[in-house]
Amino acid sequence: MIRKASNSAVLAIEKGFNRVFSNELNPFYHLGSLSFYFFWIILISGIYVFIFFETNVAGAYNSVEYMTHDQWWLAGVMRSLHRYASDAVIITIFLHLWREFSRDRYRGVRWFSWFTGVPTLWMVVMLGITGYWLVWDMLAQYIAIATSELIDWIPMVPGAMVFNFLDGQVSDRFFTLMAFLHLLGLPIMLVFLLWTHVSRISQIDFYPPRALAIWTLVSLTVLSLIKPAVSHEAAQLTQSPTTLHLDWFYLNIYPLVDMLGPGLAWAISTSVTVLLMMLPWLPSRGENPRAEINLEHCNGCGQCAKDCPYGAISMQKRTDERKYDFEPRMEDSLCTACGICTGSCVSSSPFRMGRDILVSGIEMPWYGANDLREKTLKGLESLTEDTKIIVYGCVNGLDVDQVQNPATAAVVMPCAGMLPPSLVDFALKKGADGVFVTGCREGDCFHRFGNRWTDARILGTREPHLLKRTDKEKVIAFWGAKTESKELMEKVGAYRALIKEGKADE
Amino acid sequence: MNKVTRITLQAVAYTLFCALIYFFSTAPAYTYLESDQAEIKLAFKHASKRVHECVKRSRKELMKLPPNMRKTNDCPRERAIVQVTIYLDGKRIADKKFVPPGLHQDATVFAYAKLPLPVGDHVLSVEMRDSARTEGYDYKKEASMSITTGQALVVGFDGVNNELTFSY
Repeated sequence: MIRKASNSAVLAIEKGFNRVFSNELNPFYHLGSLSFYFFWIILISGIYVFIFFETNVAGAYNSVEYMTHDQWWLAGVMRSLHRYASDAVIITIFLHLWREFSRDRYRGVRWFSWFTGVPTLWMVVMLGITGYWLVWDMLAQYIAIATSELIDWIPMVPGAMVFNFLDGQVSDRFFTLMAFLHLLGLPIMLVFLLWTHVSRISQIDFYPPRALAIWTLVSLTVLSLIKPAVSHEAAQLTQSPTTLHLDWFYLNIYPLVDMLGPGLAWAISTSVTVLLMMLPWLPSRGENPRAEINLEHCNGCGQCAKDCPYGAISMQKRTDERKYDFEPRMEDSLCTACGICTGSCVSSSPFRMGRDILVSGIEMPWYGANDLREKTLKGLESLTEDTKIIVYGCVNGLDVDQVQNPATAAVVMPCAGMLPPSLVDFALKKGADGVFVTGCREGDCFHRFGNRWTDARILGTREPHLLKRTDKEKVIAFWGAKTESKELMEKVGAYRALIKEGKADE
Repeated sequence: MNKVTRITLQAVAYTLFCALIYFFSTAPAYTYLESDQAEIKLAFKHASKRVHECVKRSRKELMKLPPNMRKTNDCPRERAIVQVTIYLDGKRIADKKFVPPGLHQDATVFAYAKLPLPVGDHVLSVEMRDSARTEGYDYKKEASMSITTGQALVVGFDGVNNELTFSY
């Protein structure tokens, strides 16, 4: 219920952004790559800032002040960019989290990315906190003491960290440890976690589209010039802070510590973390049986491995007697049963003769190439009007059942990418006047690449593709979200009218 | 939607994104201490006295023990709870108890607490008990002081001279 409402909200917002930015540049479709991009900005600006930064208690504050005021035109801007890109990454991470939850892309086989994403978020927050610590101003002092209170609260930890920040000076050794954590220790762990986070998907977009990247950087630079990042007063351990300008993206836990004490702050943050990590099993999703390889129908072309969005298929040396060099190997734990591999297999061609039941080289036992052929034939047989349209749609996109009428048949698949282009040729040969393919919005396929591969196959830029002699006018693709039923009805109606008109002209 | 409208709306989207960062990167301001407040930080490490006195073992008792465990004194490990009472201008403002950690309650106490302190002239008095006694105190320190906004007054314990300390 919550997810459904949340999904409607996400789809509505994304629709607006599609109109303004286009599907290609919609930032909601690039939240992951935007986060990576912000990390690059953080890294580059951080390297520049580090040139002038002194990693000792006595010099840290003054070196940051030098950058902010004396060399404001570059080091100051870099410092601000470092801070604002760090804030931006929190926004994109949370939007990413919200979006993946709303689109139900966090359960089942996809649990791993969600599960590893939660500690990744914590690592980013820790990186931000240690960054604020290094400025060694009153805010840093406040963070240092409150963090020590949190750590000292843990029963098994000898409670002595806070004593580093009372009367007297903080030791350089302790400060260097923080610098090490921020500059090397935590970034290395973050890279490892990010690698783990994306390890179960293939063909990752690490960079957002160029226009989005440029304008984001320009925006953050302008923000850095309008509101340069500044420090509080220098840390002074004989004083406690009065008013603090917290960065709420990173430091929101600290007022909670002040208000509720470290014990409750730990309880709340730990509960939220555990709840988030357990979300894929609350409840878990019953998955369909995975795709299976039928070696006797496989020529080892490797297209299924190229097309699989989750890297579930890899190629290995042939194990049977056949003349081909390779065969696919299936990693069941990565397969989401989307059927895209069936769409990419040349053996899924319904024209293959000599057997009653069509068997593809790779297909799901519950929905294979033969089912697609049978449904197509059955659908065409049910049409009674002169103009016959067949609509292929996916379960995650628009509801194609609603378009069925005496002139229009519908075939539903787990993903639009399951459609073998040869089935389009087959449908046209068997009496269809037009083929209408639909699925999730462009750039937002539930299974990542279903609509992209289908478009490329229809256009002939990706294997397998339509026959060259196929009249491309008779094939149309329309991508949209579940909420856009009205548009689907209109598009199908208009397409039917167009085909009818074309037939009349003939 | 024409190109100009699209570009304008894109600029609005980028501006809103930056506005979010502009605001929440420093606002709303958080007040840790009000302008008329300072803070007492009670903070020290201290091993309190043992709850029970050591008892000298008799020769007979020693012989019953394995050779490697024949210590002359039998000293129960448990240490006393450290109790600190703080008075400000004669009024008791805190009474804190710190139980020694460890399975046998025998480790060093890490005492830490924060208390608000109004700005102005005060007489601060601190009493501490670190023995098994049930009444009175083992250490006491009192001082008059003038406290300013945000000042951090640390109440500590000097383990070498066995006395309470005030730093401010």
